[in-house]
Amino acid sequence: MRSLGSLKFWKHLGLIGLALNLSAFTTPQKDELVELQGFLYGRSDAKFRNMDQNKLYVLKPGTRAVIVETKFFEDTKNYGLCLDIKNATDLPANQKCIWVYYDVKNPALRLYSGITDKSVRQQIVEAWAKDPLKVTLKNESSPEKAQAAQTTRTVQGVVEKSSTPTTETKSAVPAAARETAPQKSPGVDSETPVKIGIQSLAQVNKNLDKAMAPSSQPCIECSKPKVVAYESCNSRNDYLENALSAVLNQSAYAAFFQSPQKEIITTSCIQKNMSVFTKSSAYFRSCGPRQSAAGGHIQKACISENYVNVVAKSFNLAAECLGNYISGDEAAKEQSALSIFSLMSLESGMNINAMSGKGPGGPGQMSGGAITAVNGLLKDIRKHLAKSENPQCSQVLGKALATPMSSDRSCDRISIYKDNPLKSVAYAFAYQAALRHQLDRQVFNSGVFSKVISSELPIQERERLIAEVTAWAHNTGPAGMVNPVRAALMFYSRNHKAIRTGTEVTKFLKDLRPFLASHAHSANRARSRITETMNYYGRIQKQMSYISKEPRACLAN
Amino acid sequence: MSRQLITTVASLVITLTSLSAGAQSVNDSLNQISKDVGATLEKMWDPSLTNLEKLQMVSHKKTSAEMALRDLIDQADSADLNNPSSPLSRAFKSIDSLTVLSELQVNLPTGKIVPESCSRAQGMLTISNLGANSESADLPTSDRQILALIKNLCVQK
Repeated sequence: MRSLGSLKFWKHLGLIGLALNLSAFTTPQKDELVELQGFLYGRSDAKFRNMDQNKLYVLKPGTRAVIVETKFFEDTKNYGLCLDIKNATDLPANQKCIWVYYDVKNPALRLYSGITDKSVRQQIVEAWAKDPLKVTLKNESSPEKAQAAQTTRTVQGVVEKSSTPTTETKSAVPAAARETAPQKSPGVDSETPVKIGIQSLAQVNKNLDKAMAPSSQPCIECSKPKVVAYESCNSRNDYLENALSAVLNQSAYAAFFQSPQKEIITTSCIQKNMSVFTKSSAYFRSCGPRQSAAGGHIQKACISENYVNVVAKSFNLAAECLGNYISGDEAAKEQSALSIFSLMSLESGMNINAMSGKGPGGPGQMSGGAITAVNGLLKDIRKHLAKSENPQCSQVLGKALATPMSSDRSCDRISIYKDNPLKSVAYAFAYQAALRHQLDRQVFNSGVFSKVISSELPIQERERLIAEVTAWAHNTGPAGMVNPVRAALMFYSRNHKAIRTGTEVTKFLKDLRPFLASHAHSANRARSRITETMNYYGRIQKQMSYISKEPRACLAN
Repeated sequence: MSRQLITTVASLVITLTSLSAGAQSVNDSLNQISKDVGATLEKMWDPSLTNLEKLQMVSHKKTSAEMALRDLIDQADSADLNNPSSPLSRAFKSIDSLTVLSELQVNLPTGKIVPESCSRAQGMLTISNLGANSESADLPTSDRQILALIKNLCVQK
């Protein structure tokens, strides 16, 4: 328990808190104050590869320090920080500072920026030194102890690109600690630190985080997957690498791919999506630069950083530019993106050269009929892109869609040399738009079922209902979904049931399943197809569970 | 005993008859929807009507047909959706035709159909017949007639 004397000091410190910007700050500067929120390796110098034998300590959460030196890594835009630790008990006198890695996107430490007054900073540093919660530095040179602090949290590309992985996979968060990984620091109003100023800075932050994410709500932020180490390529699975490099550096789209892009679905989820998809070569085919018919089966391409980068940016551009084309509603972009991301997890794992034996190929496993349907919409889509406020929609996606995809040449669906994955992902979105349009007109917006789909249903839940059924229709075919949904809605109507809430949307999606069998379209009546169409939505959900505990955690915002 | 049996059989017959009559009455109403829509579609070929008049008719008929079907839906048997020639399927199919036609838009100053809306309507017709993993969509006769109608409306001067 703290004494009254220290209470006075902490009140003072609370006022000092006014001068602090507690929100996460992504550009660390010399002399700034930091507090660790996760376990990190402390190293003797600014080399952060796993192979570097320079780990001195495992630094614990609560470690507080002043930044003595920073080192910026151009490749990853992340930093090395040399820290003068203030609340350690056993720091050797000869150790001027300890290096830690600061991943801007996934920080394990919080920066306290904006304190320009030296005396204020000095007061805080002194307070930290007096803090009774001392942090003990433990020498972790023994491999056994380092293993105990193993994590899959990635520290990306710390050194210049090389053929060896440039990641530190054993950085420092024990499994138990991962579950309570630091949350993003919310913005705060200037009054808040005063109200709770008697608490330590760490407690202030904890309270703010709690206020922003009440415990009754599921912690979406906590379940966001993190980018993990990129796969190393070998001679059998590196066949896309040269083409990816050309796309990134020499193609007409190079400027787009090299610049940072808005994320709707996080890159980490896209990486996970690509990685967890089957490695069986039965699902992948190759296409050379001038090939029109896909070649034989080939190993799954390695999920390299370049590959993930190209797929993630292609997907997010399509989501940005065509998400609103699907529903006609700007606000529904995210739901559309999430539904298509989910269906791609099952169809292809977003691997661009995924191809099933029957012919459908690419991230959305487009069939000839689906491609023809989208080609019929191309004029309309180009017009939509031209109207977009985001110039990349017309300049980049518009360029990729300047010529239609051939419904006969299978390489058009999967070849990186044919404007894919920009084009193939855009086609998957456009096909969803076509399906959605049809289901809206024939079922969801039809007056026939206006009593069942209640006007009380919140708009975002209505959007979820339609987006999920549309994603399901990707497998059944448009003709294969209309009658089952109509039959399910008729069943609801006859039993005086209505869909009014999110829970009832979830229930309806479950109730729809048997109608896929009882009202199967002629193309879906084979026993294997009945099983496939009935289970499709459930399989999507299962596949998504391998990517993220909570699918919405894959949304960037 | 025999009187009781006769009474039971008689009430069963009456129940079945009334059920059958009820079903017949629903089917009659469903057939009426298809018939009314068919009459509207016939008028789409009438050269004396303007495109605007035709599309207004489509819009009105679509709304009234949907309302009529909504009022019957609780009494209809969803299993009939599996039979394309059932009154229920034909009622839905006829409303679907109007739904496709309602994609068409008229350019008011010229009175012509907007070309983009023609391709949207044609696209919708194609997509509605697309089965899973289909490499192409084969249109049934009824949809080929609607396609011919769309083409006729879209090329009209």
